[in-house]
Amino acid sequence: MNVLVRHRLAAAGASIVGVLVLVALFAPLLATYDPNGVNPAHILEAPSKAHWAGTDELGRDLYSRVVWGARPSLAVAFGIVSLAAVGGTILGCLSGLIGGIVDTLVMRVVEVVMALPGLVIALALVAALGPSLLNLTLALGLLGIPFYTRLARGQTLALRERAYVKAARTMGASTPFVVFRHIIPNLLSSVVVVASLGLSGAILAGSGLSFIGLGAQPPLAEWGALVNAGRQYILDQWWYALVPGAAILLAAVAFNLLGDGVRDLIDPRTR
Amino acid sequence: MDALLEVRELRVRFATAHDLLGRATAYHDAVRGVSLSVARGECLGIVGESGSGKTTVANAIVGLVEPSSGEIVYDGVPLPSLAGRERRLAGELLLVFQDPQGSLDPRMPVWAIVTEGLAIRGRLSRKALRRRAAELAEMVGLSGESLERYPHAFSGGQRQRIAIARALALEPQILVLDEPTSALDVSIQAQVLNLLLELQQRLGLTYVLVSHDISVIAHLSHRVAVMREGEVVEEGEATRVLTAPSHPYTRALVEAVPRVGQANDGAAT
Repeated sequence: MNVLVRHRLAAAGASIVGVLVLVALFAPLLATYDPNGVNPAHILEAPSKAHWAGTDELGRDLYSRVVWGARPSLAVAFGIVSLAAVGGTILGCLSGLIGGIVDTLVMRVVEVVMALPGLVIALALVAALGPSLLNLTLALGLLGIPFYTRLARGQTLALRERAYVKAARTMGASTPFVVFRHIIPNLLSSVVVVASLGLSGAILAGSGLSFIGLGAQPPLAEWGALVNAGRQYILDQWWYALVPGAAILLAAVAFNLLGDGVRDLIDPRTR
Repeated sequence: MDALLEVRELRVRFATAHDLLGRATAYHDAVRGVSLSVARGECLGIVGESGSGKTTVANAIVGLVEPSSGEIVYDGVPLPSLAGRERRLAGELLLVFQDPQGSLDPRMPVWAIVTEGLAIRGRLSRKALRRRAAELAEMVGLSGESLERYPHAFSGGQRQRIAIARALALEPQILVLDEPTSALDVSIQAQVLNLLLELQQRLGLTYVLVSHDISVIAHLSHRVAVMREGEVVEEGEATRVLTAPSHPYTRALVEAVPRVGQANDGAAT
């Protein structure tokens, strides 16, 4: 694809992500109503001047709920990816450095976890732990660890053979010195690329589990849960499910574009 | 003359195949009983074709490769492997790598690369490190501004200067030069070799120079060891070995060097 177009798409992705994060941060200022404020006089209303996206079955303002919903939705996505990326990088780094039987064991376990269908296992885990946003984040984050473990291990194995690492060792550098000065800074770029691409998957998985009731619990406004609540009115009040659904779509697309952009930026082959 | 560095009956074998449990099942003997000695202030050239084991000898000297048997004696004391070497000792024998691209961390500015050995030892402030970096840059002929830049901004010859400066920071006794100019353009090779020559005279360094290139060896070495298939086939004064080789392999190597002005009989007719 044309470099300029790619560049623009990435910039668009980054700006949308930026806007979404600002929306989450300034939700109290942007929302026009209390997201949990019930109003029996205005139930399931169509979008109007007073209620920009209409109201739900309890008369709560849908626009305000979607704005507030950016907080748990984005927090879950960032939480999942951070847990997976940090955990996986540490594990992969150690596995690659220690080598031998530890490395073999870690990699076999990683392969087993990767062979399992992630979403189904996450479902079972959350069901066992009890449905909540925290448990959902933990389950999806843990299941994301193997991808980063493999990535970080491979990078570590390659980096430790680099001449500059050997040079540091002949100058008396300890293993922690080498890891923090050379290996981690050099493998971080690939982790960042995978993580930024992983965000869109995380937002879909997170809202997906909330949609089936395993994440956000009422009355918390979360995009996946909002879509689920709107589901039963989809024939008459179609905007109820559509508005939070569009928010999910927008976030997923934006994270994807951003991830592609970050990859192009860091990988000199596609620059 | 007393030997500063002695390699005694060095053998190195690499595992080439492993069973399911990771135990080695097949070996390759890269170095088969090599003995060498280098006097203080001298340059010993090790020449041989690729696969002759010369780089393995170089790596064993600086401790990057574990000898299977034999020992490396530095200043009269047998050296343990790198893991067991004291910090103080680790800075005495340093290696300058063949590939100046891979030997510099792309994410570090030059001043940090050059002073890395000092940073490993600790004790110096950031300010002191930068001051030392400036001195080192001058020593190897790099401009002061280049210290803030990153390796990708430099040519091969400049990168090799950075690598040499990094080694000099620790004031080593012995520099092991592993094909220091092989990755460089011919026009740059001479500059780097002359820098090495000048540094040796100024700082009284001892060199072990590993190269497949007879002319590079001839430029720097006082004595030459010729390696083939993991063994030293001939050793002696550089002028003697390179002008009147006694071993047929050495003769073949020397005769294979192309010379400027030599008639190309085949192409003209």
